[in-house]
Amino acid sequence: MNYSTLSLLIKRQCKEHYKTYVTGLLVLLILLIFMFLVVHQWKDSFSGAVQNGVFVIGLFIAGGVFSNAMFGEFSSPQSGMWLLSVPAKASEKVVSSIVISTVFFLLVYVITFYIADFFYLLFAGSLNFESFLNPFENGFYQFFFIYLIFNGLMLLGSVIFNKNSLIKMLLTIAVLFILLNYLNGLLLSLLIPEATIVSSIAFDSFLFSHHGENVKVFLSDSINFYNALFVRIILPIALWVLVWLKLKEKEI
Amino acid sequence: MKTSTVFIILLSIIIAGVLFASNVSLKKEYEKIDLDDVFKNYVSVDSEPYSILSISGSNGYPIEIVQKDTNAIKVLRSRLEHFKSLVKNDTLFIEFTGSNISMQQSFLSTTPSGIVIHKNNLSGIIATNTHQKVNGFKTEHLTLKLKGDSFLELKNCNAQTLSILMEDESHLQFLEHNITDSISLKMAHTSVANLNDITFKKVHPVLSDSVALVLSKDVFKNLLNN
Repeated sequence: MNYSTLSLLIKRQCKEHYKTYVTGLLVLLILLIFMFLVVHQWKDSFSGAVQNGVFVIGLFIAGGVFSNAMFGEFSSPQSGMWLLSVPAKASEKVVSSIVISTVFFLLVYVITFYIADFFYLLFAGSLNFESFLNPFENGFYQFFFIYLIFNGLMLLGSVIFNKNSLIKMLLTIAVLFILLNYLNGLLLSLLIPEATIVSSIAFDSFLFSHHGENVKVFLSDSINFYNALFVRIILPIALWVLVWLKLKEKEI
Repeated sequence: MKTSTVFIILLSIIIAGVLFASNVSLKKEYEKIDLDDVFKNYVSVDSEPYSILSISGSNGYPIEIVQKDTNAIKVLRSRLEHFKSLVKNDTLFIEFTGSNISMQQSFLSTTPSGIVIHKNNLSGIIATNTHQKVNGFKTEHLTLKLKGDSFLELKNCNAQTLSILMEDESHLQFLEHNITDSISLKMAHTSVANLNDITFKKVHPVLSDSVALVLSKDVFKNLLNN
């Protein structure tokens, strides 16, 4: 992999789409402020960690749209051909897209979020340092890892589907998510038939009911560590590799 | 077959394998649970001796404090990551972070206790933005300091002297039957104290700002006689 090519590819992406990105950034800021206004206006209905909620919703909406636009050229044959003919390896094109839609996007998103959060706190009259969202508190940072999986899937969608890739991929993700949960619930009920399983989170935990009381079962610390490694690191990398394979096949 | 198709099949097999392995591990954890144990959802946490409890954090999960011969701290397994404790001098500092709920939701909360504390004796409880349910304490002197959005429910307690200091939007409620000889009640800001279910001989109120007292007829007469 050539780092100067990578740098040129990143510059190309930013230069070609900077108008769209600037407009998108403004839309994102307005969307975040709007969501904050909604939760402030109906604060009785939105108690709890509203800042965390707004952060996650904004992250996945904006991140989904942005990641999907990385290979937006494939939406038309002409621009698709042009992208494939750019003198760089498929791996370099994929890595540059990953860097832009993860590192750069997250950096810009976090800054934009805190600008919106500042206005919200100012408006709500609770502006002080402690009131700002701390993403490293209470394990909230795990959403950044979930975003990496989401990013991998959205990039994959933009390579696989030529037309309406955003909608098609979101539908695919929803179907995959339902299937995974169904399979997980089925596996658990086959392994532990005596337990009345109320809900389950794949690779994490499940809740069962015992005489009307809900009891939660978690993985042991050591198993949880390996599972976290798989879900947070290996799975996103595997999805990015799949994006690379799909792009290579498109070139052929 | 395309390389990407082979890769997708392999990845799907790996995901299914990891899912199966983690569910087998969850089964093992399930089998370890004693279903007859009242605290099966809780994890015991060790602590050094203390007589004052200072709790801060969030009011999303109530904190149950009960007088028992055995000293124990049990934390809801799902909230263990949100729990931090430290003993300094004679005070146990607990930080129990999480999201906050409105005071109205606190009153109606059916959420299981996030922490259950069993203690043979306590001389004071300091609460900052947390929801406490204190039950069955019989002691000579008890000091209660409530700050922020704290909500403290005191049930079936018997103390010779009770010192209460309330600030900000804190709320204190006596439930069922509480007895004390003397109450020192210092309230400020917009704090609220419900004294309906407490029997006392003397009260020394120091009230300021826009505090509110909720009184029954008997308590009101008792207050006038003081």
